[in-house]
Amino acid sequence: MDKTNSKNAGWRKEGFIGILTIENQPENYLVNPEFISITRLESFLSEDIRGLIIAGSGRHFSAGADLKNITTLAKNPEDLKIALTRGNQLLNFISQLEIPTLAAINGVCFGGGLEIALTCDIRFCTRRSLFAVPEINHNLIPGLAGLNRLQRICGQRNSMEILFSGDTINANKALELKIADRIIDEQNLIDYCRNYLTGLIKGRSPEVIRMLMRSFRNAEYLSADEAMKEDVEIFCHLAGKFSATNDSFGL
Amino acid sequence: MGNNSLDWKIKNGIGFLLLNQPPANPMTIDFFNALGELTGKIKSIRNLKGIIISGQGRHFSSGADLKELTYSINHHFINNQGNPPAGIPEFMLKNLESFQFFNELNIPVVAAIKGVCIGSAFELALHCHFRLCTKQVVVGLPESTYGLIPGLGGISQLLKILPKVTAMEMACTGSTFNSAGAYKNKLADRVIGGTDLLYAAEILVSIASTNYRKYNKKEYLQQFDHALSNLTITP
Repeated sequence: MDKTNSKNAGWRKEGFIGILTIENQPENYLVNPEFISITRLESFLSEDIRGLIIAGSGRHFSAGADLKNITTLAKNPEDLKIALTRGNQLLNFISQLEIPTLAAINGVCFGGGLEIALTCDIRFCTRRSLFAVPEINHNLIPGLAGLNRLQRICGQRNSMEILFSGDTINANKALELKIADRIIDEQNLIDYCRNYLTGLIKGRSPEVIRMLMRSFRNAEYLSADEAMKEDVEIFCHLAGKFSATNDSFGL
Repeated sequence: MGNNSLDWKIKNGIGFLLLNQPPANPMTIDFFNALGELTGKIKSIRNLKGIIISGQGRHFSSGADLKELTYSINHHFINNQGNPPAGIPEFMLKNLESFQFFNELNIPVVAAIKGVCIGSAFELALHCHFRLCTKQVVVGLPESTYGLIPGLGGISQLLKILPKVTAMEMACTGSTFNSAGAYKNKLADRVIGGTDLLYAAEILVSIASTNYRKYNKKEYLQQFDHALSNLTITP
């Protein structure tokens, strides 16, 4: 297990699973929406990482953007725009990774923090997790495509409830609104998530997992017809490598 | 059809498509060819009330005959060497189109699942509008265990039904569901016990085929439940 810390993010590899942590304890406010550079993340992922966990350092996931920082940046709107654009590029990069991604959500997960969690395929939380999109309370809207991802994940009605109220939501409500996929009752959420992802990829070649995740991305971002045609292509690509040494069997 | 790999009959205005290579009813290239031909034929049939898809004998189907299929795909790539891009074999796209054909029909299409229904067979069932199953079923997409992915639209169809986390578990681990698991996860609309599966499917088609609207699925299933409960009361 190695650990390489940058200022706003931590990294460690456990088995084939990479664990990326948002670092700014205790609440892990986002100093910068781009909490890790894409280049740095790419180099971490190149160490044969087959599943990615995003978590907060310590007791919380992240309380989101540092409002003071945003106010300072907003004095020069161009600077704010650049910061948000970079943040968006990072979040898009994460959401397009062709490995399973999982947000392990301890404690608070607000605003920009929730926007990061929404880039993951799966969100696991604990009984004590709290969620919110509080931007509306400050006359703002989510700046990191949270609106878009929220709609896709929770549907129109749930998203509007979350966005317009700005209310803090507990774990049970988060499950009901589909922000969280499961509430985990284990002592150590990260250990649980690491074991979960390890189980998901166990016994499969990295290429098959990558191709499956590409198929999932296609299904999310393309029309059904386009996605299905892509699947045929992926299937043929993999079938080309398939050595049919066994007797005829079905699938 | 040019071969006997599938059996097609119209009874009481309902089309019955049975995969017909028992016991496992594998989806061979012969089957896919016959299926493609059948879709062309169905287009010209007037007044068809609905379609029921099932298997001859104990099973729905064990899915694509992988040895034959991968051989044909490899053959395509070898034949096209030097003529890049080799592209996707035409027959594979045709197979997808055949599956999509049933999904896009505006008459009810019911998969009547019994025994084994895995891989491409389950993909075909996922393209159907309704899935009924008996108590003894095994459904799933084990492609990843063979180093493949579901190639005929299975992932897209799965994501319409399951939360992404469950769909990923199913596709990555290749794990299968029994009837209780399939019902709990909405992969089966109903588990049929006590009534003949094809008869139950026929009842469902009769209910849904009047002024059929795909989005009224829930309503048709309620009426179906009611019809089935009446059946068990009056012997």
